[in-house]
Amino acid sequence: MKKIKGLGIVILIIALWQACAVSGCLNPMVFPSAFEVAESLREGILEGNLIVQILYSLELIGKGLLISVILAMCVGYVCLKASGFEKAVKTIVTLLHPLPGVALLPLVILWVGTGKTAITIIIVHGAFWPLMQNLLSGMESIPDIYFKVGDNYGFSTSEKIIRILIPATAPFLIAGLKIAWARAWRALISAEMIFGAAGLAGGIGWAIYRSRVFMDVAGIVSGLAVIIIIGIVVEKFVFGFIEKRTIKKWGMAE
Amino acid sequence: MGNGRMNAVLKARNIEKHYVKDGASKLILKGFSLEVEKGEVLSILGESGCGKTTALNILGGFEEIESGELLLYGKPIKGPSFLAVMVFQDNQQLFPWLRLGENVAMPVRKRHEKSSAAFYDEKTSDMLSRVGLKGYGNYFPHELSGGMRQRGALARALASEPDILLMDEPFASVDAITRESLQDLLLGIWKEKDLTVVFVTHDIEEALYISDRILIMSKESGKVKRIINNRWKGIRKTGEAYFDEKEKIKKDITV
Repeated sequence: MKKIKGLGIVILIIALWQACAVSGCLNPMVFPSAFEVAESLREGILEGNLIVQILYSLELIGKGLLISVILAMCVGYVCLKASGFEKAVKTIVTLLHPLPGVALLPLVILWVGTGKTAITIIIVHGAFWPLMQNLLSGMESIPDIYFKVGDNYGFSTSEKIIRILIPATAPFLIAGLKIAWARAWRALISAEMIFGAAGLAGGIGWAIYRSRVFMDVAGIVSGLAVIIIIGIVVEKFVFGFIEKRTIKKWGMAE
Repeated sequence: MGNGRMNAVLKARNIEKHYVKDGASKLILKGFSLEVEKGEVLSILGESGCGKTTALNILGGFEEIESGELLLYGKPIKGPSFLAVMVFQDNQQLFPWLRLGENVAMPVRKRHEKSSAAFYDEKTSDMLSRVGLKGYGNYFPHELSGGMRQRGALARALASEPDILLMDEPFASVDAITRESLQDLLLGIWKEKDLTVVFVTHDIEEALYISDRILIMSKESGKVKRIINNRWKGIRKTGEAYFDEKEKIKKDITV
C-alpha cells in the first residue's frame, strides 16, 4: 500500500512536469518535456556514458565511505580506552562537522591538486564527522551491563569490540551511515562540478556540468533523475536490507 | 557466629567502600564481612540504598575495595571471572543481537574453547531445558517475555559453570506469579547441581523462601546487622512463627 502511494506521487510529479512543459508558458529551451528527459536517459544508458559516469561516482563514494567507517571505528576504539581522548574528539567533531566540504576545496586543491584524491578527501570530510558523532552517542548509550557480562565471561578487548561494541552500536552506526551517504553525495557532486570547470573527466556531477555547457537541458535533468534514483535504491534496498538483517531482526530499531 | 566457617569458599572481611559524587564522599559499606559456604544459598537482604548491590558487585570483582580483605578459595579477587558469575536485575541482559541459544552457548564456547559444535549444542540445549526454555533457542531475546529472558540469563550464567552464582534481584523485574515460579526453578537447579549462590533482594519473603542463611543489612550505615540461619527455605508464608520472623526482619532492615 505504502509502495503504491509512493509510486503514485512520483507519477503525479512527472505528470505535473509534463503539463508544465506542454503548457507553452515555459521556454522549451530551458524546460524539457518528460519524454526528452527519458530519451536522454535511454541514450546515455545505451551508449554507456551514463553507466560509466555512475560507476565512476559510486566508486569514489564507496571508497570515501569505507575510509570513513574504518577511521571512525579506530577513533571510536581509542575513545573507549581513553576518556580524555573522547572529549577531544567530541570537540573536533563539533568544530568541523558544520564546515561544508566545498569550503575546504580550495585548501585541498592547494595541498593535493585536483583529481580523485581531492574528491576523496572532500567525501571523507562529509561522511566521517556525522558517522563519528553517531558512533560516539551510540557508545554512550550502550548499557554498562553488556560489558560487565563480557568481563564476566572473559572477553578480550578485541572480542569486546567485535562482539559487543559493534552490534550494540549498530542502530547508531546505520543512522550515521545514512547521513554520511547523503553528505558524501553532496560533496562528490559539488567537487566534480568544480573540477568539471577545470576540464577533468569524471562522474555524474561532471556530466551534469558538461550538459549545461552544451545547453543540453534534458541531459541536466536526466542527471538529476539518476542521482534521485540512486538515492532511492540505496535507501530502500541497501540500507533497507542491512536494517532488516540486523537491527530490525534484533528488535533494536526504534 | 564464630569466625571461619568449615567450607567457606568466599570470604570478605571488613570491607569499606565510598562513592564520590560531586566532590562529596558517601559511605556505602563499612565493616562488611561475610563467609559463603560451598553449596549454600546466602541472601543479602536490605532496603534500596543499603549497599547490598555494591556488596555483590564487589564480591563479583566488578568494583574495587578501599580496605578490607576479599578472598575466593584463599586468593584475592582481582576482577570478574568465571569463578563468580552474575545474573543482573535488568531483563535486557541477554545480548539482543544473538539468538537465545547463541547467548547461552557463548560462555560454553569460552569455557571449552576447542570442543566440537555438537558439544556446544548439547550443553546449550541441556541448559535451556533445565530452565524450561526447550525449543526457544532460535528466538531473539526481544521475542521473549521478561520472565523468559531472565530464565535465559540464568541459563547463560549456569552454562558458564561458575563456582559461585551471584544474583542481583534477578526476579524483581517480573510479575509476582512469574517471580514465584522463577524462585522454584532456582531452588530446583540448586538441589540438582549443588550450587553456591549469593542472592541480593529487598523482598523478605523471597529471602525466606530461597535462603539457607540471610544476611540482614541495616539501612543507614552500610553495615551487616545480623546473619540468621533460615528455617523457612522452600516454605511459603505459613503460621504465626513465620510472620513473627518476617516482622522481626522488617524492623531490622527499616531501622
